[in-house]
Amino acid sequence: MRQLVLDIQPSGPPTLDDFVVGRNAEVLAALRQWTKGMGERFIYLWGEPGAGKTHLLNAVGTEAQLGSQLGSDPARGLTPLNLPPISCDAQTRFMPSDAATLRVDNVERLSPEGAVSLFNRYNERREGAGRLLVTGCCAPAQLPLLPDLATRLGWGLVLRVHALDDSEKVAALQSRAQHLGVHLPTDAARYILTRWTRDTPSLFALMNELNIWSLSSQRAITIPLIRDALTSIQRPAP
Amino acid sequence: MTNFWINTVSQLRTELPEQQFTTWIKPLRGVIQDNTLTLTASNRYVLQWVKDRFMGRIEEMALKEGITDVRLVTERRAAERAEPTPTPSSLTAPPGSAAVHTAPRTQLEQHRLNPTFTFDNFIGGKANQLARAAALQVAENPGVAYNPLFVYGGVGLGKTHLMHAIGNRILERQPHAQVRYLHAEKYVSDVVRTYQHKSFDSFKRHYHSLDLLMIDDIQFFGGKTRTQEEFFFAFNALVESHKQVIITCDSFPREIAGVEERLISRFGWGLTVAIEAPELEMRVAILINKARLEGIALDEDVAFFIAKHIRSHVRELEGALKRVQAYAGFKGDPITLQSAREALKDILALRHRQISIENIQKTVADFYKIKVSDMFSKKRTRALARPRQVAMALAKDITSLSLPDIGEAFGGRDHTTVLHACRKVQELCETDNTIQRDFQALQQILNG
Repeated sequence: MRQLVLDIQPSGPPTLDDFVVGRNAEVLAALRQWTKGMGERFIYLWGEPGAGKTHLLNAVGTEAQLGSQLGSDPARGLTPLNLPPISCDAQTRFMPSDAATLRVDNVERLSPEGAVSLFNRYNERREGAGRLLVTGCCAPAQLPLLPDLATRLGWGLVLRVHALDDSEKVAALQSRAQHLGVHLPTDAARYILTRWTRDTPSLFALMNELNIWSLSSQRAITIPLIRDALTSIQRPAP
Repeated sequence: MTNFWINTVSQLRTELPEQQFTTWIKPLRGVIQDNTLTLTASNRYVLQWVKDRFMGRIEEMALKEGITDVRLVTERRAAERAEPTPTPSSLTAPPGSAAVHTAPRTQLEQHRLNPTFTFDNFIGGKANQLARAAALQVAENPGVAYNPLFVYGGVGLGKTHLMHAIGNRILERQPHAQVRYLHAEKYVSDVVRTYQHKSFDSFKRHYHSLDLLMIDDIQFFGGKTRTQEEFFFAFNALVESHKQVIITCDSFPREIAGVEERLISRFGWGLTVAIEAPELEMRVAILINKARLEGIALDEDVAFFIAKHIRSHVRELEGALKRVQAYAGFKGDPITLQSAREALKDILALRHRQISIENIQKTVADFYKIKVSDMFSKKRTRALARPRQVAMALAKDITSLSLPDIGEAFGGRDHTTVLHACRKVQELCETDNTIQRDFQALQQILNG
């Protein structure tokens, strides 16, 4: 019989501090400047899926809610800054055009109309005040978007978000485990890396599952426990 | 509070591009009295520009310092108010409300020109010399020389800059000329608004009375028949009365999709000129000029390096310069050839794309001239096993697949076989130059 686990796992909004830096120290420094309303106003982040772009975009929103001022709309005065990033998956949604600080996730998924809309908002901000943070799957030159928009995204500061390498992933897994309040030995972390889909979101999702597994079976997270767990946990599609 | 304006100016310096800051914010004079910040602009054009674009930000910063009222006046009005009487109501004004003393609708509001885009800072070269010469002609003799002037070329090559330069030059010579610049998208939304409000008369009155109409990116008119019809009438009215029309587009008139034939044929009435991608010398000059404007110390060899590798358009060049500057700034070092190379590594080397395991197997099989089926076969001769191991190591490096998944894709092999292959290749790369060279070449091929 297995112990039932109460669904009260620690979680909070993503922050820049809990981003595992890896080779992305420069990206992080630029974003910290950006949230303070300093440095380059237009930043485009690109990198492979799972590299952490959405985390960074949300973390910037969190930082803003924590009190950093991002800016305001010149025409309407103060505007709320704690707006969510635009989701472009199902349907293009933009924050109100009077939000001087815009964040756009997965820009490559924009519809043609959405691209024109973002193009206009870019131009408004370039002529006046305002900031823009955009993420995409590839460098601006390869974006399958309206060229007028793609070239403008490449006009600002373009930074690549690098995915973590194996040793960084071990550290990230251990840090995640610590955040969950459990200990993950290094050999167990390496064991996971050689047997599971290795992008960071999949690894973190597995870590959450292992935590539940460990609590419900009342065993520490060790290689035997992971071996048992992996036979039951459904592997994400490659 | 006394230092508030000085602090605000320094803050805005960090937020705005250098040119905008120098043109609009730096000349403002700020005086604080009774919780009221009074900003004095040199003329009503500057006042309107600041009001439209920067007031919200200034008010926000003022509010944090307890300044509840921000006023914007021109020097003339400030002189009239030389003996100011404190306004008790300003202390009780609701936060964020700003009493802005503005002139009526200004000329600046109408023409929407960026004063920083001039002929002086337009870098000329073989790629744009014809367009530049035609633009100068039009600026000297508007409505006479070439009407319309149709400038076409790819994105980010300076079409908009050239257009603004013409407008600015004409305004310099004829300050009261009715000039209007707008992006085609804006014209479309003007037409939509006109239809909504049924305000056709004022729309026609406005557009038909201009001395110079500049429409940017006219390809955005494609498929919008109402807009095209309105523009057709405006175009005829202006050209017939010898008023200048300037149009930019991303392609040659005949190639614009979804635009009526009668408009396309009219575009050819004047002069059609192309702007091409800048050649190497021009790209170097653009970089050096941009660096000078932004106050960046950029050696010629670094400019040459960037220009040699970034060939497409001016925006990408300027973006690359920004990246190089940011990287050097982050490292705390001056910009050198080495740091520029490092900063642009990703953009130059990677045409990032999703690489499938099948793609890796095929590429490696082609490289070693073996059959793709050998990747899955049970044969273990060195001539086949070594490429297979290399492919497995590449799959681990490039994809996110787990080792069991990689093993499965190579003919159902165990994950330990993959682990062994990765270790073996890593070991061979350190001891065998040929393997190292092959591995790196394959990495390069696969990463694009």
